[in-house]
Amino acid sequence: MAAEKSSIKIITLIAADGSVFEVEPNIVKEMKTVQSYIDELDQNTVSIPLPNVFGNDLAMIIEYCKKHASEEETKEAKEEFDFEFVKRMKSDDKLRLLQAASYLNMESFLQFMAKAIAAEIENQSVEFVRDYFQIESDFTPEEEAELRKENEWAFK
Amino acid sequence: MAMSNEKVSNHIPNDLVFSIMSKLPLKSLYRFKCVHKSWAILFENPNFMNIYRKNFILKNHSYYDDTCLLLKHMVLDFESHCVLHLCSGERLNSKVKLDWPPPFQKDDRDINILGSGINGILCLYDEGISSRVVLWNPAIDEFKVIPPSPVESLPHYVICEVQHHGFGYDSIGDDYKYFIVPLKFR
Repeated sequence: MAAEKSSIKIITLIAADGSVFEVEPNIVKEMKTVQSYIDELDQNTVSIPLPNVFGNDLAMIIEYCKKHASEEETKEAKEEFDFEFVKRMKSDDKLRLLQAASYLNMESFLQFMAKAIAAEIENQSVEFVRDYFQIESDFTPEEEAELRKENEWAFK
Repeated sequence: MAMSNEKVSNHIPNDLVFSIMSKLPLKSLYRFKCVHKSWAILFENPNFMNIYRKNFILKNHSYYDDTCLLLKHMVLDFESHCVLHLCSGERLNSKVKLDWPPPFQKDDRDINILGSGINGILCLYDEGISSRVVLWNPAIDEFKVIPPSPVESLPHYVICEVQHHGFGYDSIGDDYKYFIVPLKFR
């Protein structure tokens, strides 16, 4: 157990591409992977390599965390931020951020990204979804035809 | 080990797919059964279905989106029949006749709707000597017959009438509750 956790002033996160981010301890609270690492250390400054997260993505995640950790922001302002945050992302960004959220063990950010992806694929075709996730069907054409027939109402 | 730059695979591990799927509307969830076998079997995963139901209940539903109205009425020709129509659309002006679920298809003289739970499930029953109670989801056309309550199989000299009282979803016990009151005559 660390003697004085509060003694840590600045945390340095190093992304996969080597870009460096300095953040305050309250920003990484939501990143459980990072937090548990910090908890085990007894130092004033820590630097943590995150080999599975790219700099661009990490910058976005930090931006999100800052906004949501802020006590001055109203609930409406945070919602507005969330809306704009998702709006400027492409599909690939969302998928990468979802995986980063999983790697960093950020529960509420993960749910947020999952919701954004769900909103993008809902009511789309099966082909769209396969393409989106780069999934190859493992059904035979007969099996798929059968399944489509069984669930005909869902295709209307 | 650092990942190779530029290209990140879009391949998403199953537990993350799980999180995404749990946020989809039911119709999309059914449609995407066809994407991959591992997606089709999500429906058999009680853990997934639990999360799904919870998300579904917590979601803010706008009751005026996709609102539809079920109209049940009696038609009299040689004998009476109950007919069910689904009215949907912005002004509820598109009307479709629905077929009753199989247990009621032969005898549709006296069908009643006791209530509806979440997930589009209706509880139907008919009056008569052999009263039947059926849970039915008209959207996906699946049904389940509720077995008779023990009070309904009392010896025939005990005259007992059952009143169907209510139906609803219990979010704590995660189950549907169907409530009857037996009335015993001496």
